[in-house]
Amino acid sequence: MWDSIYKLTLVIGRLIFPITTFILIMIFGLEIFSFLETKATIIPQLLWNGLVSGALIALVSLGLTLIYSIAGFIQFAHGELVALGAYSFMVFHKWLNWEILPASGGALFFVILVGLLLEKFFFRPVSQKDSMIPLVISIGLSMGIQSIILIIFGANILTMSNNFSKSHSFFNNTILATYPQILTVALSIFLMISLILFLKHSKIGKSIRAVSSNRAVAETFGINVNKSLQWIFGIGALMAGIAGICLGFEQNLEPLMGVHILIKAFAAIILGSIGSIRGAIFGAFLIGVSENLLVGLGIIPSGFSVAIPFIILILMLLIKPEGLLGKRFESLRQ
Amino acid sequence: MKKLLIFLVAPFLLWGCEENISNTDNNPETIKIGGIAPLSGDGATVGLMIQNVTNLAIETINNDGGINGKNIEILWEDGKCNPGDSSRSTQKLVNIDKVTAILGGVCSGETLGAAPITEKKKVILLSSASSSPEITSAGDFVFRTSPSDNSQGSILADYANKNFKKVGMITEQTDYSIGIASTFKEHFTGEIVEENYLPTESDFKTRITKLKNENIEGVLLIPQSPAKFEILIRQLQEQNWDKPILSNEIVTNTEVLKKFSDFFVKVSYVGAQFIVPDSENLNTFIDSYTTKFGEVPIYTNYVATTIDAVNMLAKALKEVESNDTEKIRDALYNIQNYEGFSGNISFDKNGDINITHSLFSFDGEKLVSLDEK
Repeated sequence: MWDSIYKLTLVIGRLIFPITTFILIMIFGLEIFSFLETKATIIPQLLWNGLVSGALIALVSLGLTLIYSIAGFIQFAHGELVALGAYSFMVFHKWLNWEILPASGGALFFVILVGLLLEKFFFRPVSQKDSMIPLVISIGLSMGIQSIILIIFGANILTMSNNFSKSHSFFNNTILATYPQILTVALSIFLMISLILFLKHSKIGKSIRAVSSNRAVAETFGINVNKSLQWIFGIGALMAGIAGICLGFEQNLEPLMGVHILIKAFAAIILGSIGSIRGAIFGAFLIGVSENLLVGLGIIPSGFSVAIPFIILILMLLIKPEGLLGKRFESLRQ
Repeated sequence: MKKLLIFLVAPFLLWGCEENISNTDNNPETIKIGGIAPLSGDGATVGLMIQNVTNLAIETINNDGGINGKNIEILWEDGKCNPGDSSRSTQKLVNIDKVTAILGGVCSGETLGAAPITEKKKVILLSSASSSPEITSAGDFVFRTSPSDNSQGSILADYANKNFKKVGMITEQTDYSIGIASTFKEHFTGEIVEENYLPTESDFKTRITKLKNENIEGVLLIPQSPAKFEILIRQLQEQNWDKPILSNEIVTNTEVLKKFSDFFVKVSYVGAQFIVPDSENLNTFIDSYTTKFGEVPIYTNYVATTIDAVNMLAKALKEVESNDTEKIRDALYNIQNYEGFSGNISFDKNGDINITHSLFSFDGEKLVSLDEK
């Protein structure tokens, strides 16, 4: 008797979610459909806008999540590498009148150099200490670099050349995109794939993964942990630098530009699952697209768009702190 | 525990000392006034210019004998274009430096942040650039030499009433921009699609996409700074915007307009401006500014209102011959039909000035007044 009641409750429990969803769709489905129909013409453009902003966030969040998975702390000065990328590109391109490619090369070289120097002089000496120490150091570095940018370039908003801001239409005029935007998305996707392949197949990538899964064991097997750290900071800086250059073309340059994108990237890695590459990519695009869709479709008033990553962040930490693609926190900690 | 107690009590003890320490200089050789402007951040373009103009105007007064033999000394604080930093700066100027008057703020937020403090301590607050309508009622000791946004918002609305039935509006979430937006909303009879953004944002693509789908006949941009205006225009251009653009007076310098002259000629641009009469005095001042600071001041109208603010304050100080701020206030109200750099000006009973905005369009080269057409 009790047994059958128990089974019945199990069955109801299992069915209750799909049934309520079905009922809700039956009631509101038509309205949702007609709402989307009125907005159908702009949805492709909104998705594209979301893709561009997602691609930029992904470039930053990948570096952030890599550093977290190897070094075990959130590198808050990572956003400043984005700003340094943008500003150094502007110095090479606008002040020294270099062509775009050599200027990008110069800027990326500079950013990677800064990333490696930060690792060598600030993070390696404390790499064996509690993760709170490098975290606090990184916050200090972030403020320091911001101030340096402020001193050199001033607080004014600077804009990159607007020779490229001509847009081209695609798919029957439903999407308008500029070349820098297309390049941003293409580069970002290319870098993601190459990063995943690099980590999976190259020797250094394998050692990085080994260090990330268990540092002590990797060390006993003779893997050079410091070398892995250097690689990670180098790769992170490269991606941040690229994000900075793209961001400079897409929006503008200001000393706090790194902080604004770092917050979104931070939300993205928590959303996706902290320390996971796929999670970072997934989270970044989810934030980029949802931000643009929610505002573009008028679901959220546009003045609140800055709050969206924070709302996602808080909800995620409350409901599923290990992230959408994550395992339980406990297993990650080990 | 003892240490904790010391830390807790010390600030109160120091607070008690403060009054006595700063009251010692009862007979100063100089007249101390304060200055609040955005010296860093987005607003610094305007803020630094106003700081330079103020300093130069004060230097001129001091070289001509000062205020009845005393020199004016100005202490600058960074208001960072927001009420919070501005009120902190004001607290410092009013309570520690004991100034009799403050020139500033520049951003409306700064002035509104400072006003409650200056009002309570009966310190003159004289702004030469803040234009939020709220400043009109901010207090008895609050004055300004630049026009209120009421005139800006209402003439833009009049123009829109004649030409459009439905407009889009993109407003930066700052006191200044919101001030114009609310006046516009009050006077415009048609339908408005509102979009907002925070000062930290610079990606407006989605808002523009949304407005394009709304069947509007024109768009009103109300940014806080020329830099944001430029980004807005660039992204509008990227999204193949083809409707008329209206804006507030943020683009007095035609440099930004000229960068996009083809685009503006195509879609047509109308902006509210207040233009000061071209005078020899003003040109001489601008020349000396240029030689001293190595650059031409970009906002001629605010150069004029700032010099007027300094000169009118100096005139009031000369008449009163004391630090009695109530008398200085009355002297300021009594200045009528003053021949200043920005025209024949007087303060009204709210401390507002009697100059207004007018509409201008852009022909690809320069601003053209719509009144003359």
